[in-house]
Amino acid sequence: MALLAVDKLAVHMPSHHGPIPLVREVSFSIEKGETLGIVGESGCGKTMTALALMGLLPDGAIPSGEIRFEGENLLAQPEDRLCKLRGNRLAMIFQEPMSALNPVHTIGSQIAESLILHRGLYPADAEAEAIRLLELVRMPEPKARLAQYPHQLSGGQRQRVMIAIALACRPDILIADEPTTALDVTVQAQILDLINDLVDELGMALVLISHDLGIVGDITDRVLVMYAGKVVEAGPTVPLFNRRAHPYTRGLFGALPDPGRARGSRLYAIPGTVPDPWLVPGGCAFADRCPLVEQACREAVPPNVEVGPDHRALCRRTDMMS
Amino acid sequence: MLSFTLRRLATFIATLIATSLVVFLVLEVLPGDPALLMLGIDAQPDAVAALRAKLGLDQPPVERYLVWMAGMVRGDLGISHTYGTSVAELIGERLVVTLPLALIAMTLTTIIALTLGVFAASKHNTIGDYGVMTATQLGIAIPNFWFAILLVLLFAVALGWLPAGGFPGWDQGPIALKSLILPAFALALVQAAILARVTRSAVLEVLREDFVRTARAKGLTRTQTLWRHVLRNSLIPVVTIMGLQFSNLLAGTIIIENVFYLPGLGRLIFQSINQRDLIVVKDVVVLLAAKVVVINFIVDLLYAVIDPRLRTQR
Repeated sequence: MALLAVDKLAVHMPSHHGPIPLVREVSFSIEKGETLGIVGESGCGKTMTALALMGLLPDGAIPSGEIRFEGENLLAQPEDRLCKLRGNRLAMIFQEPMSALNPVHTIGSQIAESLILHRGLYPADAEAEAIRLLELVRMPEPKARLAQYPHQLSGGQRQRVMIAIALACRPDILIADEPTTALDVTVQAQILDLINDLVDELGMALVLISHDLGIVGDITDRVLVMYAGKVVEAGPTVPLFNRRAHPYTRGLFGALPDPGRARGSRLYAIPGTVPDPWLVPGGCAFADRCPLVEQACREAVPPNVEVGPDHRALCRRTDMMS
Repeated sequence: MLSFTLRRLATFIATLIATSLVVFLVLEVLPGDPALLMLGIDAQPDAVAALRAKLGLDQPPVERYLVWMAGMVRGDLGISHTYGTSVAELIGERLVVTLPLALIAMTLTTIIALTLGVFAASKHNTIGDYGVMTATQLGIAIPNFWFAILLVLLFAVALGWLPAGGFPGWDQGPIALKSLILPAFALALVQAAILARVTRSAVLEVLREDFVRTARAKGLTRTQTLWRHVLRNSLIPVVTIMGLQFSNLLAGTIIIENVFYLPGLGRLIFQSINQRDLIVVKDVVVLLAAKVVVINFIVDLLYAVIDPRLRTQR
């Protein structure tokens, strides 16, 4: 049994136009210790997918489908059960370390909080454990940090604190939503190395959400490419990066700067923008921006084509992409 | 912190000097004879002359102002014209009623407002929220003297639980405390309604912050998140309004003190103005200005207690 199995997950947000689909028919599974990357442009449903896994969707959003964690469908669980899992078996770190920590509580108390909550530690033991956790995330002078407040730390240090909080109860799955996007480039690499090392060290599964293909390629086993709420390509990282079976995946790679590119030639960008969720066209959602579009793409939902072992793409023109 | 305190002390002194100057100019220097004002237009000329001499109005204004200020510094506020006793003593007598009344009313206000405000925010856009918003709207709309009369009718006249008015003095112990309960509730109603709305909107704003999601991701329930992470972050606007309300309670209780026949500071101000006891009026006005500065200073200290980011800037 997979550690986490997501089946036909959808998230709808009610609106004046009727329910807007933000995530549509997303299915994937993660084994113990596996790392999964989710890539796509802003607004493609990556973060909504992650929040659905945590049961922390914004007010009003309606999830459907199944999220099975060790066989237990999280979408059917009551809130108090989810509270026992969150921060304990499932943990999440967020994009903005600047605002993700409470400005009026000390670092120590923010780390100790989940230890007291889930592991029932006494405050003194929780403090000792908090120091060990800060050491684990390689925070300089961990003991002195306990009494400090978030505004006294740098962005990278705050993200280390966030990771320490997430790891406090040794979760089975760590969900990292753009964990390095808000950081300086040099700090990005340090934080990423840290996450990568800790995942290996603690045997956690990792769901890494990023728009940065380089980051995802470096540390994940499998990748989902999402577009307009749907998974358009999924497969093991190396074959997927080599084959790039979906035109959108190819477009994402094209949008990366290539050092070998001729000087003065323009960077390739995918033409157009992601359609608004309530305006997603019928048929293939990418049709309007796709260089290989044909009439059939606009008329029917594209087939989910197997393009390699365990590697699928949601496209009728994959034959053109080799 | 030291420089902050020193700056505050300078503000305090500057405010007192400015207020006393304005009061002095308006009451004693601008055209119009204070002695005539105090005695009324039909007073005998020799009585007016005697009062002028007693008030020292024959001295030059600068000297009179300095004498008044020197008295203030020594704690000698002069002798009330109508009561014939020292103004300092008079104010002291009234403060032992007004200060406890204000403290009880403020405590009630805080408890009611925080409970209602946090509850309404946590039930945003549901029946509970609408209920609190309607109730607080009503609370703001009801005049507090009318609410006071309703309280008297119910708890004093119909049920006989609490006294309808008057203040027996603190030597009576529990009975004295009992006679402050109804006035405190009457004062707290409007204030709590306003403060509950401020609390609600402050909490709603903080609920949108990222760290609230972090707290939930740790496994805290909505209620735990609200009390442990949200409330303290929403307190800055709440404490600001509380400071204003407390200032108001120390002088603005004239109507309620009249309804309940309480010998408080508000009643003293009311009576002195009525009786044109300018000696009491000018002392009390300066005292009230001092009070506002002191309360603002306490509010500033509370800001630093609430939010550590405000500590380092000082």
